[in-house]
Amino acid sequence: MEPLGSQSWKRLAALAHTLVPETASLSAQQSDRFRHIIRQALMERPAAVALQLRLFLALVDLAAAWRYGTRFARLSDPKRQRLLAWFQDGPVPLFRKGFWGLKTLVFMGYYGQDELWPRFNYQPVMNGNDVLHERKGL
Amino acid sequence: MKEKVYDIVIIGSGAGGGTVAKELGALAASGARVALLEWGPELTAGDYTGRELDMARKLYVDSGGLLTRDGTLTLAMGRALGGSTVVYTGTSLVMPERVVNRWAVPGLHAEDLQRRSHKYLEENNVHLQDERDLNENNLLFAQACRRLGYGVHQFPINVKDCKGSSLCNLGCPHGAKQGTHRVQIPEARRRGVEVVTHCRVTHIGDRWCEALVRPWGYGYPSAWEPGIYKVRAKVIVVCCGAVHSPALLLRSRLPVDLPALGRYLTLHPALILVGEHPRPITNFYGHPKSFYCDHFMESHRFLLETCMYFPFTTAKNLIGFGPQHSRMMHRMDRMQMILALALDPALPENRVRVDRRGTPVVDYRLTPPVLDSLHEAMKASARIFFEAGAVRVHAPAGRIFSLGVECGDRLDHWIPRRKVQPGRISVSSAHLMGGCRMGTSPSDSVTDGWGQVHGVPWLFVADSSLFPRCSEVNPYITVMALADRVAEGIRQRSQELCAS
Repeated sequence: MEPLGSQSWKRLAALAHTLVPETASLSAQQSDRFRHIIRQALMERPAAVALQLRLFLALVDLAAAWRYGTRFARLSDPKRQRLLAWFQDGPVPLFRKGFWGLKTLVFMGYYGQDELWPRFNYQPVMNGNDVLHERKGL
Repeated sequence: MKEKVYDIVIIGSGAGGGTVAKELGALAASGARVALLEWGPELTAGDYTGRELDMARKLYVDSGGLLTRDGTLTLAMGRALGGSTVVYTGTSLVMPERVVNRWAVPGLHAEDLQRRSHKYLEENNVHLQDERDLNENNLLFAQACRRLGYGVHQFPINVKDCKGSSLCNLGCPHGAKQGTHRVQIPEARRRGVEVVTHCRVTHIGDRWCEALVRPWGYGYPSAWEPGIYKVRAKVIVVCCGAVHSPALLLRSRLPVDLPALGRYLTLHPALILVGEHPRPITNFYGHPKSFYCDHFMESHRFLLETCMYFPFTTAKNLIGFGPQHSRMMHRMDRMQMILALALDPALPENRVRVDRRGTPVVDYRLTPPVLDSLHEAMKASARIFFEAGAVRVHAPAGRIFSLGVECGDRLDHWIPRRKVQPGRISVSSAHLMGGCRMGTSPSDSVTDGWGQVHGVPWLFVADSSLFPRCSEVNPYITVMALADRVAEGIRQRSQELCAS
């Protein structure tokens, strides 16, 4: 069963753009991989985890409406960041936990794509000692 | 339900189970029926892809993302033939005598553990790497520690023909790391021990256990057909690690009351700290973990180690998000990393339980002294990073995302203790210990000093769950030494045990 509906995916995408700005410029293939990784991670866990995520995504929109009078996706970047920082550092442990889970999933979807490793200047090779020796001039 | 009959069944194949299997191989060679049951698969050479999410899924319980009940700590546990010895970095330290003395297990002496530890140092080809194979991530740490006057040492590691892929924690793609899947289990097989993978033991009864064989979809196929098995054995040795050994015993109907079962869990709670250099450094070429600093072990109860993690693991351990986080993450070639491990006390309230479905639940509270240790560790690491030449340091409890060199003189201000709070910093553990602690009395321990469960002469434990307190160093050699001792006890009593 699909763990997230289309509304939840839209909310997640808006949050992802704030958490990792580069997700806004992913190619179609990279976006598909992003969603595939998150979908797979959710499907491997108890159904309650996907439900908690859906509720948290809705909660972020509610908080945006309460604080700024509109949905999260319509907020400016600084307002988005302030709102998410409140979830991250705020006094409610449940909200911090929810934010941590959301952030982990988004990071997994983006940084878990090993095709993107060169973007992060992370390019290990199977024979790393050869490169190391070359750099050392050995 | 299918039925199997053995003299000895070993459950779990990591540092504990793999060692017991090899040590009981002599009994198998002389005719005893010995089986080693492993929940995970035995990976083929082609399964080691070096891809972070793929290998996490293949090699770790819950892809390495198992959380404590309150969600403040992530627990990493290996699940494959070889257990966590497939995914560690191979750092091989002998537990100091003072720690054995702190353990205070009657009959367990430092010289006994050290003798056994040295046996495995030799067996696993433990040695110091040549300096030509040390990368800058490691050397900068060691040089900075020395300049600051901090005691620093090179890690002995257990590799053969290491190619320096830096992928140790995703399983060595070259098979260089000398885990139990490379050394002890092949020897056990040669001596006649039957190895069964994809096989999860669900509970233990009176000289039997129930096991479920279910293929994972990768690795070599199991020696047994899929299905549920009742496995009879005269001796059962539990080696499932500090979470799953107590959980298995808690699910089982043991004929004794063991109030300490599952309790006194210690984790070496750890933080990943990152410094950014103004130029690329060699960090993901070569072995990732070459040095450790034990300078603060007694004064502030923490240990610092070099490390180099993968993009997703690194990203989720940095606190924060957005452009600053992204900027740092897109400069991984400039990152220097330190793993800070707190030496946590053994407390009865830190424990493994099982829920109604029998699933392990870990209750663990980061106590104020442990948070103090992590706070001091962040400051010490920041000093090391700046001394090493880093221009920015990410401290998880920092007032700002990254501290510049100008912050180095006022670290107490920039990394305030009040921000070191559970749930606000990303804490993880790969050193899980306790839960079936050794001792003399069933009131405060689970086994005796030879790993026999109190009051159950046919049931033994041989893994890190035996630790009565934390090991204060990377634990796998100590696990092997204790497993060697448990196996010796079983061998000495084998006629009595196997005749019953």
